[in-house]
Amino acid sequence: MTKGIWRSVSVVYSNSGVILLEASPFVQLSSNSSHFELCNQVTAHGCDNNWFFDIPISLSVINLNNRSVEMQVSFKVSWDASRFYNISFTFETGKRVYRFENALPSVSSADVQLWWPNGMGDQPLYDIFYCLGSHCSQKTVGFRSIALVTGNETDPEYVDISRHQEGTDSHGMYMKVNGKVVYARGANMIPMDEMEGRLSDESHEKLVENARLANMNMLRVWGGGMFLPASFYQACDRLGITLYHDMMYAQLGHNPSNCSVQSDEVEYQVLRLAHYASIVIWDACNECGVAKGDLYTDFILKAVVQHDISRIVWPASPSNGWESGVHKLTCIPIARNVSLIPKANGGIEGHGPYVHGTGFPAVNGLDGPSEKRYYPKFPVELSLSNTGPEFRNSFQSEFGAVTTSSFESMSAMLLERHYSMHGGEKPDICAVKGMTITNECNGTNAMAERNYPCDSIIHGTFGANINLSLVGEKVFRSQLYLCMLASALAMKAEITVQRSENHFGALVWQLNEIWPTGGWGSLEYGPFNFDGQVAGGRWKILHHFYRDFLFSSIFAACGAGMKCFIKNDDIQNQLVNFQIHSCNSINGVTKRIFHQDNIYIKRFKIWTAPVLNTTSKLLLLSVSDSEGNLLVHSFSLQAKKVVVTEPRTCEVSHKIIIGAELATIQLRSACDVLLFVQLTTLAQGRFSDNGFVFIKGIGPSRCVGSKPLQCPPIVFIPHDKNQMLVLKQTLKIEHLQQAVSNLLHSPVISKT
Amino acid sequence: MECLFSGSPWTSLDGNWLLFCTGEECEQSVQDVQIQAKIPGDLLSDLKAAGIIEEPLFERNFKTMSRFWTKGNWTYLKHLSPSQDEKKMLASLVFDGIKMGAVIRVDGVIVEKATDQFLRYVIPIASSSSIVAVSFEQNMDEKGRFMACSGGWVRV
Repeated sequence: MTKGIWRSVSVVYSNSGVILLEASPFVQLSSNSSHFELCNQVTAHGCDNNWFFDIPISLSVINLNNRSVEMQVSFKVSWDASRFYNISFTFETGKRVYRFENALPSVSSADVQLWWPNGMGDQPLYDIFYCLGSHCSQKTVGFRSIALVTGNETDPEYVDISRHQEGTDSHGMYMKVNGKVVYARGANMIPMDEMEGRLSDESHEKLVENARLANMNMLRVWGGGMFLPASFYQACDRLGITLYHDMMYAQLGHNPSNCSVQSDEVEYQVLRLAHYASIVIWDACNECGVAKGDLYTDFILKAVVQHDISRIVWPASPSNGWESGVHKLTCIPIARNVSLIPKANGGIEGHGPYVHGTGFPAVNGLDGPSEKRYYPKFPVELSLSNTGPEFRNSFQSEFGAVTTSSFESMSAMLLERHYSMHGGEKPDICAVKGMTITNECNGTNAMAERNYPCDSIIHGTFGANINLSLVGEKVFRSQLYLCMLASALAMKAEITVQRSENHFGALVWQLNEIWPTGGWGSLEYGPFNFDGQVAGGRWKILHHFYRDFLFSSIFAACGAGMKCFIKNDDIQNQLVNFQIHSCNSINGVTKRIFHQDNIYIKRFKIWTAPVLNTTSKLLLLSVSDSEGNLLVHSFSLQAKKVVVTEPRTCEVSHKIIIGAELATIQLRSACDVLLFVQLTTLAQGRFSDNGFVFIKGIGPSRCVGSKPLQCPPIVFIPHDKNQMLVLKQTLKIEHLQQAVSNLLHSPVISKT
Repeated sequence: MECLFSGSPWTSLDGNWLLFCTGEECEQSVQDVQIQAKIPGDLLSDLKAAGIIEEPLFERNFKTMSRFWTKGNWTYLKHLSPSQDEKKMLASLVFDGIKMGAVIRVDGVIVEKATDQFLRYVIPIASSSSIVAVSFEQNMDEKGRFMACSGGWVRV
């Protein structure tokens, strides 16, 4: 556990003795523009296009004098550069926070552009400049209305009844921004480092950019982590990543105490983060089971609401919502001094499922050395239930699967003799000790300290004949690759289930790793300028899956019984074309087995294809718009396991063509098809593709069905041009046939 | 706006501080040693930069080397040098974030005990003050207000 002075230190010398610590503007809908009277795409009920925003401002000030001091506070705003706003104010001794409800005039939505989540519109930001005496600074704000909807607001009668009621309902849970329903997809953010001296603005900015590139529009700042650096929130504002933000409380000793230090902490953080448009929800804690009258509501959230009634407040993640204290249609607090009473039942928000690995003793392997069978969920059993906000719905704010990081990431922190999933030496003896959720391991096995075993997940997915005790670079690369692929396939199955049901939130556990290890993240450990790591996190196969199809607005998948569907979670109704090809995983022969053009899908609705008549175990899916532009490409496994019947080395050669901004990568192999190809490098940047099926004569499977020469090549997108030489020197290629071939216990070909 | 970004009374104390370990429990190799520390930062990064410990994330170093950062009282120290004009003003120290329990002294006098990683500490001081010391005393109970997430590390 580290310690230190992890944030800035200053000394302030002041003539007046009055020091401005923080200015905190809150953007909230004017009391004249009630949230439920906004233009509402669901009901068009009480639609009003002319909204007004109020901008109350709190000043955190310390008066070092032993008397009151009158000073002038002045403001200027970028959306109306012609005017100054001056207020004379008396700052008292001992008082810390001063609220100015009407420091600035209300802003009409006609005079500003609205801020939208990623994929729904732009993220315009505006400046507020302010001075107290000679000390001036600025804050940046965005204008948006937010609501957390828990009732059936598609029913006008419900809206009429609820508009003056308190509490939340149990119909479902979804975010609404500027009146539009959001399918929230993203992940849980944990701190980027245990050693705070390694936190950097560059890495946080890259991390958020990676989230945006993967089509994420929401991150949850997990309560077992930290209030994050300003650069993280600034990037979220700039890139349209909304934040579901826990207070920093979690299980096992991280619960609140009723003391002034902790209410001061809440006050400081809520005021420090007040201006960020990206923060939409404050909740008290992670998995803490908030109950009526406990410290989470009556102390922590009470302190939040005392300062901020511009945002949604939520008891915990997960929770059942409120009996009272918030507006029923928005979940915005009704007043600063409100009494918040949580609901005991609801079932609208969930955590899980979690795919834990077993089979090797490790600090987070709770099941010890015994391996529990893991059964992959594919081909996925689809429910294809009624979807849309008018039906009962739910929000999964955590679920995940154990994984590892790449060889490039992990080997940088290991001796060569430990290049093995089992650490290259005898296993530790690990057991839970005391009040903790982790094991204590006795022994010297370096992999025992690197979190989660993956044995059960690999064996369950690819067969029990995979040897995870082999040692050396080649086999360790293959072991790590198999774990990351199996984990990504598990998450593909889970998210496919969710998108065939009526969910409006999918926040994966977790976004990033905190060190070069096995964890749950789709992004690796990402400090700036550190051996083996990429700033902001190297993309694992799973992160490519998010971008390519799992978190795309248009989702397509096939499940058990050859049932295929498209779900439209875009911002509007869509007219699309749908193609499905079978792919022979041995000879790479593809055949179009289904196509239909001009499929009209309303927003949040599912279109179901006729049951396919094929025995193919690998299907390739593509959805394009009415002009033929590819919207999403995906694959579907129609077998219980990913059994490689012909494990072969299948040597792959490559050619790298360096361009001005990108490097193009051409692959060649004697084999007709390479399954789930993974490209890695020590260069800073990311690849356009990973985890793809490569077909001889065609290229990556996204090119199947496209016109020759019209399919974009595989490229590497570097952080800077100096990375090209590193790419040339360190590009490595893995694929499934080769990995299995490298790790089979015996050369017997599996026919399971 | 004329006053914009001008005349700020704030002086950053980020950058180089002195770091040393006191107490009989300090590892012998760091007794009577002064290290140049970087603020903002953390103790492990400073020890690594000074060549006292190897990379903490390599192999099992975070366990095998933990005696360097868990034993003894580690103190960060900074000299202030206010101008003659500043000495006539009112002054305050502002710590935006200190992780784990620490005692803050100004010119040898305890002015605050920091126990909350997420709280900003604002401490009025005499404007003529010249030495700020932040000591992480190993027996101090910070009552759990630190980052729970440890990446699987056992708290040592």
